[in-house]
Amino acid sequence: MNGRIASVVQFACLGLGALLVSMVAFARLDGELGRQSAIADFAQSASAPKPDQSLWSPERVRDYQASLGLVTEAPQAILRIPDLGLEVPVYASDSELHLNRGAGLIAGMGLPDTGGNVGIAGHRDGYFRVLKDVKPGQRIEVETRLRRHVYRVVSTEVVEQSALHVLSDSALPTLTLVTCYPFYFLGHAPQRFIVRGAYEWT
Amino acid sequence: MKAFISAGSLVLALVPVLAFAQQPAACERVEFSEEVLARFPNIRQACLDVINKDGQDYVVVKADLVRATSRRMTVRIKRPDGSYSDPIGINIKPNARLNVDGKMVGIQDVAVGQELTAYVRVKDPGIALASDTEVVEFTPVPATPEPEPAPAAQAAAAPAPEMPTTATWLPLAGTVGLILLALGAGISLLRRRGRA
Repeated sequence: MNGRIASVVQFACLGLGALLVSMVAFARLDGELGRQSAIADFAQSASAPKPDQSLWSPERVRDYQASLGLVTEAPQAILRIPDLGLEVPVYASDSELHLNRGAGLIAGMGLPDTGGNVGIAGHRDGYFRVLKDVKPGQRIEVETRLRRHVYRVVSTEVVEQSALHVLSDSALPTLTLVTCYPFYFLGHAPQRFIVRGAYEWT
Repeated sequence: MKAFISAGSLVLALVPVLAFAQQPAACERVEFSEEVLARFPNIRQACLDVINKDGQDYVVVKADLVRATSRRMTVRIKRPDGSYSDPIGINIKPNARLNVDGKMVGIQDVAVGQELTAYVRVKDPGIALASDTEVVEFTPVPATPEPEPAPAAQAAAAPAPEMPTTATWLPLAGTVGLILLALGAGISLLRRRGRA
């Protein structure tokens, strides 16, 4: 009887363990494939000729711009930190799906092309884990369809989750990268790691 | 001959530099009001040209776009020494077209960091980002820049930013999965030893 129970426990452990490990591996693989595909799509769409809008009415141009934003799966930009080997698509929101495939713009903050304090979030147990090695002076690129924006890391800090002041607006263009802290932590980490970038005028 | 070519090349190479360094005569002649000079102390040095529109003189300057919304843009005028003026807010019409690198483009095609051509009124503080028929509003420039509306300003309706959740269940699930696999392997090992 004991042998039978041990057998059931053994197979349950092995089965459930294999299932969980497979799920994690699948999620990682899906995220990585999604990241590569999004970067390729972005490069393709950026090089695609833009429609000639010289005869369009202002309303039609506005509608066209708005329609681009509705394609939620299309990344808004590509974030690169060459010194850390980071290259991820930046999606329109910081939803779970988007953060699994790259990084996401934080709602209510600035946008790369329009200025202000641009907030980008990423998983600390995913693409943003490399931020643990970020150093002041390193170059950060945010490439949109209009322009490649360059920032320089000016500071890093660890703040509590309630420290919303780091997300507040700024008069000059600023970049704020947000991820959870500590970088190695099971479950929801209690703090946030903040990387500040100042706009580099070229 | 070789020396002659080199010297010629040097002269040719210097021509654009000298042309850039030389202040256009119109800029040297233009008379700014005290208000304008108080607001833009180095406006004469930043001046690239002078144009006249509807009887008013405007100096042409280069400015970097600091912020862009659908109805308002903020620029900083470039000074000759590479420094910038304080940010200046300019109201624009939704269908305005701006001069970027000599090309007229719609406001949806400009992004922060781009260099624009701006036009500063000579007699009283005022600035515009277009000089052709699609004239933008010449907003009086306040002594101190107004606070900008919320980013991407689209809005009052925009939600206040919240701290994102940037951790997943994946590390926990992976760790539990590995523990279960180790447990299952351990039980299997013990059972085999028991049988032996």
